[in-house]
Amino acid sequence: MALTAMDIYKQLPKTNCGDCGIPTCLAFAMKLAQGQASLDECPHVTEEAAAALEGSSAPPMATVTIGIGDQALDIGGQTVLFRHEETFHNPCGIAVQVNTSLPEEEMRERITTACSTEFDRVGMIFGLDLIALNDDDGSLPQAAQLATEVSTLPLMLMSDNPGTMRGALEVCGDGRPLIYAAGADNFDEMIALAKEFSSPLAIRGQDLDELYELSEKALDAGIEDLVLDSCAREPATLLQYQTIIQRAAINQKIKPMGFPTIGFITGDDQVAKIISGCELIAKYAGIVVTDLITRDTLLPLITARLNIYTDPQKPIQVESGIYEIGEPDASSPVLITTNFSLTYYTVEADTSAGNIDAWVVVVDTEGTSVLTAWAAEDFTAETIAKTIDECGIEEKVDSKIAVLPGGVAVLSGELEDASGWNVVVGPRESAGIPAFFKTEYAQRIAQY
Amino acid sequence: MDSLTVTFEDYGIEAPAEAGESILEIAERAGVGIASYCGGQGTCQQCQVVVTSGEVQPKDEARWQQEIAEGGTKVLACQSLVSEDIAVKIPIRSRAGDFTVRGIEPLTGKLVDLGRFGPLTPLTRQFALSLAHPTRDDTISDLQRLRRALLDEDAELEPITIDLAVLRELPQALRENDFEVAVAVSDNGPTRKIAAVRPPAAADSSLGIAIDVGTSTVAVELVDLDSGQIVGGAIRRNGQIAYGEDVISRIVWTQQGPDRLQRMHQAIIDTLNELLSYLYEEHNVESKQVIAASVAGNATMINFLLRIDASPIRRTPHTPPATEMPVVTAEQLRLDIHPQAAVCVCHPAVSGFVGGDITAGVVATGMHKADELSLLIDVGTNGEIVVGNKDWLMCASCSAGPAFEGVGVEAAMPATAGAVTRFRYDGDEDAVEYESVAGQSPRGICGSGLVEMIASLAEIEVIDRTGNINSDFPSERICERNDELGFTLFWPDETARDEPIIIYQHDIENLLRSKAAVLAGITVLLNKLDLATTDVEQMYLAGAFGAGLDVDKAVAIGLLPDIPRERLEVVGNSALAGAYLTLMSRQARQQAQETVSAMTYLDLSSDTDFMDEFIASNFIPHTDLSRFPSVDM
Amino acid sequence: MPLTIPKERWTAEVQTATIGATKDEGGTRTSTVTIGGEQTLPFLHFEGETPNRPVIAMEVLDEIPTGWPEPLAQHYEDVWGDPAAWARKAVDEFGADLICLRLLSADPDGGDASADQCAETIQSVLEAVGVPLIIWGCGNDDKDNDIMPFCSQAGAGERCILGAATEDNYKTICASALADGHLIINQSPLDINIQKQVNILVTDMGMDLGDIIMYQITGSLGYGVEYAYSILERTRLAALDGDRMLQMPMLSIVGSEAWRVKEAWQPEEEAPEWGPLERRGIIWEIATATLFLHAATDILVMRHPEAVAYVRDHIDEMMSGQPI
Repeated sequence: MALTAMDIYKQLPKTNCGDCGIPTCLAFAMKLAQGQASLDECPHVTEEAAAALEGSSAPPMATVTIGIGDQALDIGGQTVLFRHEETFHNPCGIAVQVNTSLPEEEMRERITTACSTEFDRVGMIFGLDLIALNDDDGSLPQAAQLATEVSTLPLMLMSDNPGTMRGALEVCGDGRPLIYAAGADNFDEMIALAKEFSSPLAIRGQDLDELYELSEKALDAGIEDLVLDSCAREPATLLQYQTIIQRAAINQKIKPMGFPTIGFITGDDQVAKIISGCELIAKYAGIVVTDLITRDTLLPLITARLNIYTDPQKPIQVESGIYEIGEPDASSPVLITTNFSLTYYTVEADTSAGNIDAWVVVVDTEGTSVLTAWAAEDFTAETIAKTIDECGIEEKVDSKIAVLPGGVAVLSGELEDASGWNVVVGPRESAGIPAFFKTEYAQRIAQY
Repeated sequence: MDSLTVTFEDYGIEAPAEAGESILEIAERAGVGIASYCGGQGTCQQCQVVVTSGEVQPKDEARWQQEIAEGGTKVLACQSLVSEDIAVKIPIRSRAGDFTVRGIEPLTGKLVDLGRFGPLTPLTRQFALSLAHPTRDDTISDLQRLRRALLDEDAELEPITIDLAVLRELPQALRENDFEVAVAVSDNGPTRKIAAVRPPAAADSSLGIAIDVGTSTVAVELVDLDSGQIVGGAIRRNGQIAYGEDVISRIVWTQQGPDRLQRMHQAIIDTLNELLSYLYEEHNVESKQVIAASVAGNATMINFLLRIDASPIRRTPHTPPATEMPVVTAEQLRLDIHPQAAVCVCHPAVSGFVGGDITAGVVATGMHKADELSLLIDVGTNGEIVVGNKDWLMCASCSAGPAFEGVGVEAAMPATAGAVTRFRYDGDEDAVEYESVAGQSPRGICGSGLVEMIASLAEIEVIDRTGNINSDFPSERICERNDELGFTLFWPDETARDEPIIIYQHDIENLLRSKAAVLAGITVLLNKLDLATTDVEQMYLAGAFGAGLDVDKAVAIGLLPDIPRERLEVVGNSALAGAYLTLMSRQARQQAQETVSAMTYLDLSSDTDFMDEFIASNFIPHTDLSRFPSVDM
Repeated sequence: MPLTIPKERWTAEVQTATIGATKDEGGTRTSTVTIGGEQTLPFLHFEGETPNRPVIAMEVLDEIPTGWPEPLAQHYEDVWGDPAAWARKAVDEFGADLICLRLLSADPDGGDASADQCAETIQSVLEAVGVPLIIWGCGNDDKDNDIMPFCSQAGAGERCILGAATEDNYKTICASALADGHLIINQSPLDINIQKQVNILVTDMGMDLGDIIMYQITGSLGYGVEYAYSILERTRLAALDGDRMLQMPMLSIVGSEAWRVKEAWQPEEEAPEWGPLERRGIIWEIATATLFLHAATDILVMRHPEAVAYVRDHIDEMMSGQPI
């Protein structure tokens, strides 16, 4: 078990000297407990305390890097079993499998397609991460040669034969491809290759016990960059194995299990493979290997990965812009609010509850509520006016009247000046929206 | 310019005014609270008043509206400029609060026990000295002579220095009084300082004041510095309320015009001077007898008191301009005590949102010296929480809102005459059972009464666990206003204001939110240290609730965690107690400094656990009922 | 054995709920559905029992749907407008475990169907199929409060699930369910604590824990699925940890959520980067359903027959797994 802040605090000098850059020893201890600080930042910690604390601060699962340079892929490094407990780190890598028996042109085509498959989601670009060359005809070195020329993605070399593996590794030089895989029958040779080429190594065990033993042996041999394959290909077994490995690593800190896993998508047809892929992505795979290549099948996998690996600690936001409640028309009111999802959905629910057709203009306040955003100067006359201007609400309504949350009534004058809209101050609480529209709104806009 | 008079009929106040001023401005100056969220822009519609005689002029034709109301014309106070004498009535809805000064009982008990701090060493000490006249054998200087006499009185005064201004007056002061003098020594730092040398009569009474500048309520106590005895105390709504209910609104208000920081500053000085003049009259004291003041308050309040721009507190990461403040003289602040008296902020702030009022509470409760795990909750306009013991202290602030202080709850008021402190309604009886301050007919309900009211209504299911009023509840007390449900607590003929006292749905929501923030703050703060509420061995509840709070009810609604009642203590105004202690004791002042540097601040505003706990706590008592085993619902 | 299998010691199990009542039980259903009872997280057979498989309810609307994309609409065009025929098709042809009947026509801003009309629809569906029913109002609180007592009555004794009680509107539906022997759906807006609040409120009214199904506003792949995913996971963890007020089975709406997102209906000409449209909606529904299954949902409400078939196969696979 990880040490608590209080356990750590007991080992610190308790002088609150602030030399670590943090005001108090307790605050420093909390940061240490969360892995947001390192013990050497405290110049006064005793050796004894350092020894006591360091053992416990090692991460439960190693982060393994495949490839080099900008396209290198980091996997693993998980600290929790459930994403809500913190977040899942290092999104799993999606590897596209390419069989070496393919004709050269087809292989080239497939690799190029994989490298250029990208999707724009939430304003960011997401794509695939690895080219997995599957040695189905003994030509892995040649395929590796082609891939190093064509691929912008790191490689995973799949062969049980140490000889062809060596040939491929020689082609890759110091490119750190993932070696897949060392099993019981080729273990020593593969270990030697991983050492010689400083490459990460996948370990394959026919069951969990064998996997554990091999991983332990690899650790003893001094290999620290491991990826684990439990060989489970059947979904029900796979789920149980994946869970056991993850728990052994994170809850029990069993070092041979403290590495990312690799999983292979299975299924009778392309659609069934989506199911397998989603299961692997949700259930702890560090690498997901697939032969899916079409955009309509990769899009859901990449989206699922994006969703599962989204940091849940960040405030939930809705996109800024115009939202419709009911069926608003050119005479419907325009409500202003922030993009904190709880704020927006409260407004939406209360407005719908009042059977009011309305436009809602949502201002990007980095996911904070009206008053918080206003307090921090993220919800100001300028930011609101800018959103009103850019979202195009003006074209949707006849008269330029905006309803401002009552809590920020102070902004009304400034907002009128900044936006050129007439501003009506609404209720302070969203719950007051139905009553406000029933009793006050018509009278308040009569003057405009 | 013409001098006009505006009569505020409800308060019997005739306020002087100049043509062209708005009713809102005149009211603010006169201490008549009119609600205004928008700072007088004519947009929030809160400041509706009824002009009963005379006519007013519109400030801005575009925003102008008036309608005939009972007894006159209903207008917006901020949009109505005076041009002749007028009379105004302020409907209850538009009132920002009651600004009357009221006396309070002196603090007593453990919190103000000076015994634990050694001998009395007040912020300013008065010595009646009879100095030996200089002779040929005794030729030491005037200053040495004075020092010798002082150190004879108390050797602990060393090191001691003198101000140049006082030194300049010294030879004459000694000789005019034939070497019989009253000497004031101020004691607010590493060295003592001779602050005044005056005629011997001045030593007769040396008084000080302890001040708690709360966001909503300001409290002061007049203290005899020689004995430590509390002469009397008073409270009043902070006049700054006219500029915003919470610190952020007030900071924003000060940012909107060049003279506004000064006006904000003046508002608190005016509030304090009103409190002082009440005390002077009540206890037959003159202002010059008061020679020291110790102040506790949150960071924003202290900055405004010293007229320092507090706007950095508003912005992430909410750093205050200063936590430790220089000592100033009363003259500099125009505070109505002895002009040379030291005004000292003895309790530094920890952060922008955990202020000296909280460190004062820590010193007063003594939790920083205790072995057992203690927790201090101060429910004011914000909820602040400190947890810890002699080894460590951790604090946080949760934006509880001022509901329990009576702001944002129409039926609420501070714990002064006519405030309902106890409340019980079992649904069958015609009338509610209640107790009120001074036994008067109800004017409103104070913090403890609000807690009991919520508990009572929940018990008989007038409200459900989410606080929703049950429209089907078979009672004539269920009422409606603008589609909003309400529950009549007192009928018009039962109250002191000829109007019913009604609790509305939004009032209940505000109260539940406040209590949820407090409970969530406690839970999350403890969770960060892997502690549970059951680990807390001593819990102090300070702030808006009178000592009469029924802690069982506070637990029943989930304001306080369910821990054995003997561990729970309601301590009243711990900030004021802390200010009193530092007024009286050097050791307390030192501890206040030490406490602050040992305190770890946790920012809850961006904490997702807090949001989660907040929702879980926004329920009566909490969605995890197993955490409230003693609550039978 | 070098590796000790890390098993959690859960202190509780999920409530079991039975939907539908046969003739012997006072209803007219030919089959009933039992869900819940899990002693562990989804499909972890090495750790505890999963006595009842997750089930698939198929959605039937009581009015002609608007805006359904062609790949979906083609399967229902022959029956829509006739809820009984639609339900029959869903059960007979597509193998639905339950029918989720949505009374959208009651919406005052739409068809504004009367309580009697809704009750008639329910009766016709009950007659048409033998599987249990989920009966869901139109979403307008006032109107639902008007019709639900009659709808409830129309299915009295059938142990239907009535939806949905919310924090602010739970009394009418809860009273109806209690009176007529139904189960109830407690709905909350992606918040575990509000879910719990609703659960406490309805149990305060006398609802049995075994008669409650929990529903969190769902979201779809790419559009907030992760929030629902984590809420489901957290809820189930709390249940197994002994929180009685979160131990009820959970329902997720997949079909309507998946089919309304652009990925499910935007043609390839408009969104070439997403590839051919043909399978996209089905895949979207399947992916969303898979994630919810692994996050511990017990009832999936789905639309596309092919998606239903794939997900059913996956459930079969997961349920047939052996403990390690």
